[in-house]
Amino acid sequence: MTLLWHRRQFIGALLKVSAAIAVARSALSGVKASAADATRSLTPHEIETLRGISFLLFPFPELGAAPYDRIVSGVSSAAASDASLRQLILDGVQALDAGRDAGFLALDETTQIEVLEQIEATPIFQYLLQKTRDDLFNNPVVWAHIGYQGSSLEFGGYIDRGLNDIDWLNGN
Amino acid sequence: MATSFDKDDDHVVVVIGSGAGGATVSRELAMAGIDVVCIEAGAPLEKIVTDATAMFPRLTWLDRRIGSGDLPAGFPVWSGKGVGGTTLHWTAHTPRFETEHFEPSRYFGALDDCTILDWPVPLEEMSRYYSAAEHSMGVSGTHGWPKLPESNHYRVLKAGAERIGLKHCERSNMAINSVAQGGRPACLQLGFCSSACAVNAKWTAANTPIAQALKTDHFEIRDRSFVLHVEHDNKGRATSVVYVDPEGALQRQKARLVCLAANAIDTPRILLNSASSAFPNGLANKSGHVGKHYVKHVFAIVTAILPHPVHFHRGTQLLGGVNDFMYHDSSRGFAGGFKFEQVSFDPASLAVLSRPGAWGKEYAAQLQRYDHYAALLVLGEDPSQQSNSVTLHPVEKDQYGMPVPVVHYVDHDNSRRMRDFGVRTARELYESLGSEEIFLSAPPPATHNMGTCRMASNIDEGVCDPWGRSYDVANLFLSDGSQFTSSGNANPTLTIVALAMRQADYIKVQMLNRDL
Repeated sequence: MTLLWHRRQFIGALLKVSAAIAVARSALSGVKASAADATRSLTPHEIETLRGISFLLFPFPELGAAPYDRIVSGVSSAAASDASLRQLILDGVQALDAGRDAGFLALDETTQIEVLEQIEATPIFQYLLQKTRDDLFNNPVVWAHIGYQGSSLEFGGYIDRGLNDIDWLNGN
Repeated sequence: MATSFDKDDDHVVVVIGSGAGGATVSRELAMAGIDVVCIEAGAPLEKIVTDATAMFPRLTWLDRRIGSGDLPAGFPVWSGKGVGGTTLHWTAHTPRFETEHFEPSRYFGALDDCTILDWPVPLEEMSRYYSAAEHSMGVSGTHGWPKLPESNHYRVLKAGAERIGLKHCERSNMAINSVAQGGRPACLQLGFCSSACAVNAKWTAANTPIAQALKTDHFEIRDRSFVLHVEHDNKGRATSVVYVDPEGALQRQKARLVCLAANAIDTPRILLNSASSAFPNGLANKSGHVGKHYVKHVFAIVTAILPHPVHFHRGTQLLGGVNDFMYHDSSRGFAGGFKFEQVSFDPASLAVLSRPGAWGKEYAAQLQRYDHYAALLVLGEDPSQQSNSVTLHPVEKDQYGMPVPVVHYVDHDNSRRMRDFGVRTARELYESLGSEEIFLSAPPPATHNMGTCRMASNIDEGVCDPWGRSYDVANLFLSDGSQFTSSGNANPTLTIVALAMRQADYIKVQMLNRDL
């Protein structure tokens, strides 16, 4: 396996903890103030763009907007107290909109995905991928949707709740 | 009433670390009436919750370490921090080393660029201590305790193994209570083993040996205390241990004898950081082997989406093992052996590991079938290489001013061939069950860290003798996985506990003989 692979896995595994935030931030700290003015808070357009990206990363259309709103509200509140993160987002959205009359959000979905594939290696993309993945797959609404039952301590464990109940192995 | 010892009391044994090795040697000595001060970097674990994300930062050693070679730069190994050490996080699988794994030169001897050594420990003696260790840990499947019950995920592994003609898929012995014993209840199959067990059905160094030691009048644990170095006198005997207490003050505990059990990363780190004019390359390092020959295990994770539900989150994370490949067989194209062990993940971990870096519609649709996933790990023997090592960073310091450890590891070509064979076979296993979506996933950083102060039959080849006693410093012992001569293909904790019990017996005898 490649080193890159290891690094990604490490970043992902560590996102569970605040230490990971520090890792992400140290990656972000190299971003210098550029065109976008990071002293302001995120605009509705920027928030909408983040939500659009988070949906494209792991689309679960049956769940509606709520899980994605939760991700974006986590990112916005982190950005509110972190100028380098805010700068990263502002610059990222600006770059996605640049040269497109109606901006990134007006593109059709196939084109949006192609654009995201081109920026996969960028810090903003990796940051959003980690945030989206971690928030989404720690969300009980998503758990219920994908078949994860979570903690069973309250119910006496799985020992009498389906530990050994599948019946397809013999006939398969 | 809690026992406490004076810092100038030079008759106490000082044990550094309260994981499997440190806690066991502490308990054995304290129960024999020998006074022990155990110094632990982490805190006692208070309330355990069934939430992997919440528990991770509470269990994990997050102090800075630097990875090099094939290891992730920022988080090269995954070890525990807290009273109980890495046993808070462990999944409690307790295989023994098999006979041939004490003699790796038989199959690894011809490999290039390796530093293979056989264990200098009599096998019949080890089996006696294995049995004692299993008894002390309440290992299900031994001493009349039944094995843990079958789970869906185990049955999937077994069915797949049988379909491709494998014959040795079984439920493993586990240090998880199948019935109440040792003051701990039977397992409820919560499925959060690696996030600490909320009902204490899983053996940990905290809930058993530390708890037992605390019941004697001969044991004190100083938690949240970080050891920097070990001092010695002009006769080359260890005299005291210097540590930072919870308030940040430097303390010096005098010692009659020191047992180092700070994990195979921090044990050599402390020795290297204890360099002096008498030991310019680090304490107990006249041989130059401290920090060298770092071994983990050849490791891979394969995840598969099966055509029907598995619900692999229900029940202990590990249970089933496939042992058909555990012994060397030259016809396979690699030396040494490996095992398959079933393993499960919560959704957030699965999303990170199953297809690293993946995103989009297809991956979302796969993860949506979380309840159809099965997974196994390939766990194989890692040949010792001198260049795989733990060293001190020349400049970078941690929050205590101690040099940050650099863990360097490069896979041996034999390990790549072994892993490829294992992954290929795992694919066949899942394909036989109708799976069409099988992924080589990202393995988490190693929790099995060994070999960095290895035992050898003579002073030229290792750091310590067959009892884990330093060749250079007569009253210094290595009491954790760092003393392993080789990695075997068994999860290391049972062997750490067995060696610690054996070492404690040796220390007791030598104390009676006035040698220590």
